[in-house]
Amino acid sequence: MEPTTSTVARSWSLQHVGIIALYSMRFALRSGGGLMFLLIFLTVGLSVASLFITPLEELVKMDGPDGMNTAELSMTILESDMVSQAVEWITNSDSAQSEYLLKDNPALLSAILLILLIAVPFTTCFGAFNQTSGDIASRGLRYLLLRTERANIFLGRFVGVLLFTIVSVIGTMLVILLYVQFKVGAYPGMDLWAWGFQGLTAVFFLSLPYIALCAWISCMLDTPFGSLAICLLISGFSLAILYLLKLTLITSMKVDPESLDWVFKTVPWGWKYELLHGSPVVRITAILAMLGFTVGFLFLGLRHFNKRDL
Amino acid sequence: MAEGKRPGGLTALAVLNFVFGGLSALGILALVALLGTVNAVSGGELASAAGEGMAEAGLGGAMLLITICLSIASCALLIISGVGYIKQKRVMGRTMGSLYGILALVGTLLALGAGGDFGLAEIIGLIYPVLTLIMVNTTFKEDLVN
Repeated sequence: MEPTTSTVARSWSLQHVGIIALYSMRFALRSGGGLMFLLIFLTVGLSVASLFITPLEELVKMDGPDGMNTAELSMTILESDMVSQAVEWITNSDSAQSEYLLKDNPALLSAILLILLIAVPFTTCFGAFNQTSGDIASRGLRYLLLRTERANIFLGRFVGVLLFTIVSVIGTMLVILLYVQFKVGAYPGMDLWAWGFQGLTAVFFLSLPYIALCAWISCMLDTPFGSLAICLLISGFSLAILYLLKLTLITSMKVDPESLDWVFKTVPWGWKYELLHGSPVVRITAILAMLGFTVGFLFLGLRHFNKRDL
Repeated sequence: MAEGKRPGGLTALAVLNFVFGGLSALGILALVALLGTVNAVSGGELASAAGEGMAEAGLGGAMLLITICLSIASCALLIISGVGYIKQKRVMGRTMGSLYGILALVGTLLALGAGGDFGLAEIIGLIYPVLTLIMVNTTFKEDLVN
């Protein structure tokens, strides 16, 4: 009867997942990957913000249009028709959505978020590529396997990376929001922070499937660098392949481009701007899609991790 | 902690120190070479014109000298502390790393005091020094003891 008791005691446990996640999050900074991710995410996030804010500040310094200050200038430029059309093109949406992003909400923050969402899938890979691959290579997981089940390790590491990512994203967004509120001073505080919170949730939900994808790839490969390279390649190449597929269908098979919106919806990338959509139904659908991708990748990863030699 | 047990983050920090230190050294050398070349080619005319331009922009000779000295000191501290991280040394790693962080903050404050602007570029420039200051005194405090 001893093995049965042992199996029951060592089955999937939320407590074990929590312990491994907290340890993994605390340990993230001690590992090179966590440090690099923090540095890359902060630099990319603030550089994207700087991309929009610095030119406005420089224009004001040069006694720009009609002596406007940065706040007035940002509203005048970012709420113009030209920017509106650019947003429609980037987000592949209609004028109602661009109006929601640029007029109903702080336009400067919307512009920063639109570009930041493009960078998130790639930056996330830098923080999540080494969830298990390094320990698989060093055979370090064998010590953990004496105390807990494989599923707890896999999910614990995933949750740990997720928590670390959330902390990094919150830190970056906090700096941007504080800067926009106190230095630019273009928008009412309540509007800015509410929209910032929605942007934060969008970044969080977009990073979820990519962390899960990295968890899957990481448990398949024995080398952390290989895992990083494959994660980045999948994140980038899948888009190139889908773009070529769409182009082929349009040019060779004369398919209506409007009817091919589904092509990019087969990957998380295609849902990212729906996370900032004005309609709650669209937003919730996008969140469900992200959760669906996450569960799918986690299922595939867990299945592989349970079978592989550790 | 024994030298063989150096955490990956500390190695990454050392590599970043060498990269930033090297880039900083290249920048300083390029600036000195450029100033020397301009001075030689124009017989001192362009250099004095540039000096007048900088004075008009509020960047006096003393301020320029302080900026160059701070850059050289930062560059040296980056490389010395990088070696210290690798060897897990207390003074060479933790102290020099902390000094680099403090020096970067002082440099930014001096620039602000001299009428410089505080924008996102300055915040981005402070990411690494602040991160270094925090990490060598918290996360890697127990690793830099040799």
